[in-house]
Amino acid sequence: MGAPVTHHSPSGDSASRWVLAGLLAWLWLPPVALAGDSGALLLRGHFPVACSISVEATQSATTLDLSQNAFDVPVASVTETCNSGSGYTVELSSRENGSLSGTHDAVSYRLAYDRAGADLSGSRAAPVVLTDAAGPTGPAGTTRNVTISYSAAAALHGGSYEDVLTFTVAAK
Amino acid sequence: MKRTPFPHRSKVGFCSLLAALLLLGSSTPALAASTGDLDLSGTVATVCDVVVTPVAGVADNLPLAGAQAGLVVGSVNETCNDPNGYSLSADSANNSALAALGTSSDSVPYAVSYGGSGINLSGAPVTITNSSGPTGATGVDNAVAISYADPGFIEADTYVDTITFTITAK
Repeated sequence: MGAPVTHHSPSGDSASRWVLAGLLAWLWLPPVALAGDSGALLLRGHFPVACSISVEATQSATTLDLSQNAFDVPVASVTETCNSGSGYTVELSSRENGSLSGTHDAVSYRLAYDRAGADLSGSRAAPVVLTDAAGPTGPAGTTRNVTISYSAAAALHGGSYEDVLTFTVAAK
Repeated sequence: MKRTPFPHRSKVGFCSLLAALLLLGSSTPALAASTGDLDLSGTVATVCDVVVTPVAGVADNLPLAGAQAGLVVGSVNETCNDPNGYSLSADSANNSALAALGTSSDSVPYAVSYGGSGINLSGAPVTITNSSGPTGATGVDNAVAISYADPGFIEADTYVDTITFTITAK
């Protein structure tokens, strides 16, 4: 017959250490499912922010007649799509700061984004905010019309004149 | 403490009474027999437990940017010792849809299978197990899987739902 096993009750500091050890063990252990007459299964997922922009140039965009005055010539349609609940912005920069630039000359133009004018001077370094939305777009996005206007310039050198517009969408 | 001794006469009377009682007792012994019965009985309480174990990193991190089919999100262990059996019901807090935690009204509907069989959680709690007997000691395990279509364009947010399983003895 083996010797009787004696159990000593923790007392004083020893008891405190047991309590602390138990607490630490409880904190350290990963959450486990507990038995009971009911149990819950939490399902959770995150849908990420997705913003995109689509630029559809019109045929006029690359066939501008700079020898004639032009007013609100449609050059593109831009579709903004963003699912950010806090909204999004669309910015525009013009490589030539709002001018169609040739080898010798330049023709300045005015741009309207859904009829709202945008000052592109200096936009190469500091893009202009075209849209500042407080919420997401719908699934189909929001489509804007881009038009430009310019005055015919006298004595322009023959040749090509161009600018490049860059639209950028960003979630807030 | 003051003690009052018995008067001599009273002491004699008390001893006589005690002796008489002892004699009376000894004259009625327990009945002896060749067999004796001792009835022992006890009760085992009905215990029914359900243990829900999510698949870590899946149930709480659902890949919502695309469709999923039969994505196992957890398992349920049913244990019940009721000889009459038990039932297990399931209830979805958002009627079988993942709802946005934010202000969006968007949601991601999903379908559920339990132990490989489809269950409809789009309404009131549904009975998903209806057993006529107890489980074994280790219970019965069933996988919980969900399926959903590509959410397409929904607002960026965290989407959640809670499925509650409840076991009841019959």
